Amino acid sequence: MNFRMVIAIMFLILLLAFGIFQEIYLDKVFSQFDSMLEELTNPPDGKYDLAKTIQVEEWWDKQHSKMEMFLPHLPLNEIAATLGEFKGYVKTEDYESSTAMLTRLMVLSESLSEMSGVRIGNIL
Amino acid sequence: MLVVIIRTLIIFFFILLGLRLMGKRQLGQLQPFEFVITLIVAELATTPIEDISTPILYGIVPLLTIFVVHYFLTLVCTKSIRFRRVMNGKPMIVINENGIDSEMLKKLNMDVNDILESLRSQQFFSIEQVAYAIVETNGHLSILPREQAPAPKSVPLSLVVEGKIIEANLGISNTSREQINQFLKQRNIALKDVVLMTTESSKIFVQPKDDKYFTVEL
Repeated sequence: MNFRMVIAIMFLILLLAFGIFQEIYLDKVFSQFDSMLEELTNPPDGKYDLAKTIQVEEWWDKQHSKMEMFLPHLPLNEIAATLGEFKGYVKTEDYESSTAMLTRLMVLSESLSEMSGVRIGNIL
Repeated sequence: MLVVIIRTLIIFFFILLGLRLMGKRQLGQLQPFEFVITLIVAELATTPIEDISTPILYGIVPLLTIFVVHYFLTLVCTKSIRFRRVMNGKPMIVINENGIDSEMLKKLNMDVNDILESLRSQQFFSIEQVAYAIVETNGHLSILPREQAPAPKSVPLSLVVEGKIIEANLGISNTSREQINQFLKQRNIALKDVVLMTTESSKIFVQPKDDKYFTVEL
């Protein structure tokens, strides 16, 4: 086995491993994000929990910097901006707008997760 | 700006690495699939360099994938003649002992002018000077010169190419349509069956379709 073959096989393994890792990693992050958003929905007294909202935003900021390596930055920034808007509405106790923003966040998360996954729609 | 510089350096490094993996070949020696790869690589490299909102991995991963695919395709090509034929095609003889093989040219999507041009670029100005010409899989024309073939005294002018009279050359060669038609009629050759007819000094070269070429001294 010559040097070039070793390099080619190494790259092949790296590419496959990286692809699988990315798939698992993104799936995990989006599942967690979805469940965090789910927890925020339907608050008992109709008022969203600001502390929980900040917690979600901080968590997302941490993930954001890692996910920038794998996903286009614009949709990630859109989620960050929408989260900021959501937090703002919760702070000002505008719960109707908060609900709209939360729904928007769920849709954005779902569409970005679908955009990056291995699906026939993404391949074709 | 610094981001663009760093991204360019990273992409440059990966392309260099990939090209080293591809081996040393000049552009003119590229096989069809290698040419495709060269085109794709150029395009892939620019997107992540220009657009910093795209992860650099979107450039590196396809680049490496293509180089790895190229490596394994080349490897299989060296092991299997059949696979090599599928990937690269096979060399085609376009000039043989009968002259220009117009059927072969059709298969290659080439015309007589392409062949004449390639011959001229290799210092062959007449079909008579060539015993065999082969279009290689990379598009290069390899020529076996005919021994003791007379070199033309001037540049031969095409009078008929693929059944069509070249009006522009009639005046230069002091030839008329009627003379050409009469010349061909005397030899029972229809104009549409003439692959190439050239004139040089007092010599006429005729390459009929599906027949051996001949020359006539006037």
